Amino acid sequence: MWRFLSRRLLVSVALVFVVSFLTFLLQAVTPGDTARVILGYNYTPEAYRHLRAELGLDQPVLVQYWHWLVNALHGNLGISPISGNDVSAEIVKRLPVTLSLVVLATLVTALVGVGLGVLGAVRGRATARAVDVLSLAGYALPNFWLALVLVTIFAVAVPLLPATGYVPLATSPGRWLVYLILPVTTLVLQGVAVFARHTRDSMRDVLSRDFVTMLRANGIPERSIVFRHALRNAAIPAVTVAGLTFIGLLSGTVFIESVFAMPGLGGLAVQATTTHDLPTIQGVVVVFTVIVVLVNLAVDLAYGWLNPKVRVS
Amino acid sequence: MNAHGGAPRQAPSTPTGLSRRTFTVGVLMTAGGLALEGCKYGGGDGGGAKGSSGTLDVGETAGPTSIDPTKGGGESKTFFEPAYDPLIYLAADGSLKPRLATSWRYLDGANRSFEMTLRKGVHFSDGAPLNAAAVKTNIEYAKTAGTQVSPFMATISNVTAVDDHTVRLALSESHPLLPLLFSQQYFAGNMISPKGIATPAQLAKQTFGAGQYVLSSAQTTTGDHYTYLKNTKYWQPDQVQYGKVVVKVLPNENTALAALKTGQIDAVHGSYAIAQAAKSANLGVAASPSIVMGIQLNDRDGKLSKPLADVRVRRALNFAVDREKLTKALFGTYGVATEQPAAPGQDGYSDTNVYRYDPAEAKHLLSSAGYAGGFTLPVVISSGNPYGTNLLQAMGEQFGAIGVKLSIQTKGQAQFFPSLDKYPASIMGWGVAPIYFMGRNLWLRDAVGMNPFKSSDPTVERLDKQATAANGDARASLDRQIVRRLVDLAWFVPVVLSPQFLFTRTTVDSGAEKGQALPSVYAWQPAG
Repeated sequence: MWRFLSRRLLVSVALVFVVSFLTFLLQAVTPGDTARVILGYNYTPEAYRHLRAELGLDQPVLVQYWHWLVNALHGNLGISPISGNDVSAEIVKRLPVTLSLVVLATLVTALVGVGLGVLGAVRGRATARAVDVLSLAGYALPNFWLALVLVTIFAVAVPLLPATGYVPLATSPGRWLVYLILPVTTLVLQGVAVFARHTRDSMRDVLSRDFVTMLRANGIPERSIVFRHALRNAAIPAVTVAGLTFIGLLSGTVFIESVFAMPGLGGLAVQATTTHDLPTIQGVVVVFTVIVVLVNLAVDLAYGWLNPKVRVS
Repeated sequence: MNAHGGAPRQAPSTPTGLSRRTFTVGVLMTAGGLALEGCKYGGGDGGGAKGSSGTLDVGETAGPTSIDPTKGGGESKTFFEPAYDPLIYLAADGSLKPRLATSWRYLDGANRSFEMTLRKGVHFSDGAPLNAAAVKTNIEYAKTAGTQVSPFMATISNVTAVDDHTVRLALSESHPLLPLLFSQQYFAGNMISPKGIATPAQLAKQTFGAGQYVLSSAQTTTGDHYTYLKNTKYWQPDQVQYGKVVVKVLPNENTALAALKTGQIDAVHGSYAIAQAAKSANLGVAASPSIVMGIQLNDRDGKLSKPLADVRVRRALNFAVDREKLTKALFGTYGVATEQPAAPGQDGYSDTNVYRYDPAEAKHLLSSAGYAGGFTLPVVISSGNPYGTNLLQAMGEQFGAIGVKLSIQTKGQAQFFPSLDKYPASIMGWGVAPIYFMGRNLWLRDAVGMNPFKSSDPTVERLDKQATAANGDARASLDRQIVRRLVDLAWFVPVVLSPQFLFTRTTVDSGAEKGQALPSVYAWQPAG
């Protein structure tokens, strides 16, 4: 187990380096730079050259990357040339927002997805179809449209929930939850279809196995068969879907945080990209990569927990 | 004992082990609690007290480029204006009023020597005094820091502190608009404490002004919301209208409008896209038609597109556009059709109409220039400009009627300006400003910014030189001649003055006046 973990961690560290280098390279070959963003349109060539030199943008890309890497390895992700803020501090400040959104959305997606999946597997064909149609409708509708419809209904027409913003959990758990309801619902409506379908297929497969027939023959109540025996077996593919859902929702935050004006990493990534704010882009990409790596690791560990055969192999 | 006899029946349990009844009651209580919590934010006043001791919540659809008032442009104004007072205040009615400077004057008849007297007893938020030395430091910083305002200050050759509260400027060339330059509208007037100028890294994330408020770093998340608290050292504390100002970045206009409707914010700058919805919701709608949109024919010598070297071709393009129709289609009643790079009631504007919509005349001019079969005109536009894109497509259709095909090339926002000299034409979309300023950005030979091929017209250059040294009616007349000459040269195909909007709740009086620029945030006050 420890060997497996160390191997995965080594690969993950290499992955973070590769991703950070590729991001740097992509930014370097993208036309435009921070100096132009800061200067606007009415600047002299001298002012542009001066600012580029001041920001270190006149140095070769590999030299710029080396400087960034050395600082990053010392825990310093740099200073944003646009805002003047320390990138590490900014990420620490915004990370809880994105994690709140994604963790909550993943949990709700899993709960609703599993519920609908089980319902589709154990009930008749009509119910299964209804579940399919509803979940696919959520998947097919664009999330910006869903977000605006939810805001129009639940913030404007029936003023129950705030249209925009975020309140930290430490400030008020109740308000934290209230501010998350609409963005989380938007993400859940998008993600639940995949979850429901995987759970349903997996449940159908498990429910058709011999051991289930045996349990039924022994008079075990159907509810117990479904929730205690079949669902645990069907949960293994669902764990993979949960990991993928988490990662998918992480990328979805880039849009959702902008629509709901939430101060998370997604919104920061958008702003940094439009202003060519390289230290901030690098910082966000590294953090996102680390999160994805950790989630994949957690999924692998969950496999082992759910299925002893995987643990042994 | 129950009706069926035997042992009492247990409530059915859920997979969690809770009884179904307990579970249901728990869910209902949680939902009820959340609904009550939610009601605090929907449809009310945002939960915060409004008025002189309350909070002003402002929305902006984009974050600032910089909160340094000399580096941030118009897009960043709302973020630095609460903290910085200008030397001279440009009021909503267009008049100039004393602020940190109590008086100002040109010392000669040629606009080459200028003097300002400063208000006594004013301190920056960091405690430093506002004096002549501080103003000199500010002017030299704005001139040399490579900021957006620097090109307008290039002719200031010397700044002298005559005494502690008098500053004198010597200029290498005439500059007729120094009072306006030192107003909040053109940014050079927003005074920064010398300590802030000495620490540029701090200046990018803190405020060092002599304004009504101070940025609270602890209550600010960069790019999301900026909180300003009262500046205890402000020189006229009785004029401060709010206890706190919060500027929130709301990137999506529709959710920004929802936030305004529900009272999460009191005001938001926005576009025509939400104007009708705001009006229907009985929100305040202030519009300032001030962005001139159309096409700039930059390649006036025909280096990339030979037909553009012929004035008849450029004039033909101007005759081919139905400005009234496009204006109505794009901006309803809020836009103003125009053929000039100027706005009604402002410097240089002339009531005379030169280019009526006349495709037949356009065809005739093209034919006489030898382009009866038409030609293809590449035009570059930046991404994220939906109104510009719509306008170009509509203009393309009308140009098509005279055989001219528009080839629209989209560039990323950061690549747009550097690529201007790679295309013969570009989208036009800049704020109308006094002719002196626009000349230095747009049409003089040495314009910094948007004259990529360094086009030059001797008449325009001569008229500009005369106007810089003139005042009053003489300069107004020269400005009109410059604009008329530009219209005759047809260097541009202006179509519409597109509106900028400020949407407000009834709780806020922005002081907006029809036909004028939208007022600065520090002019806003609680309504009633």
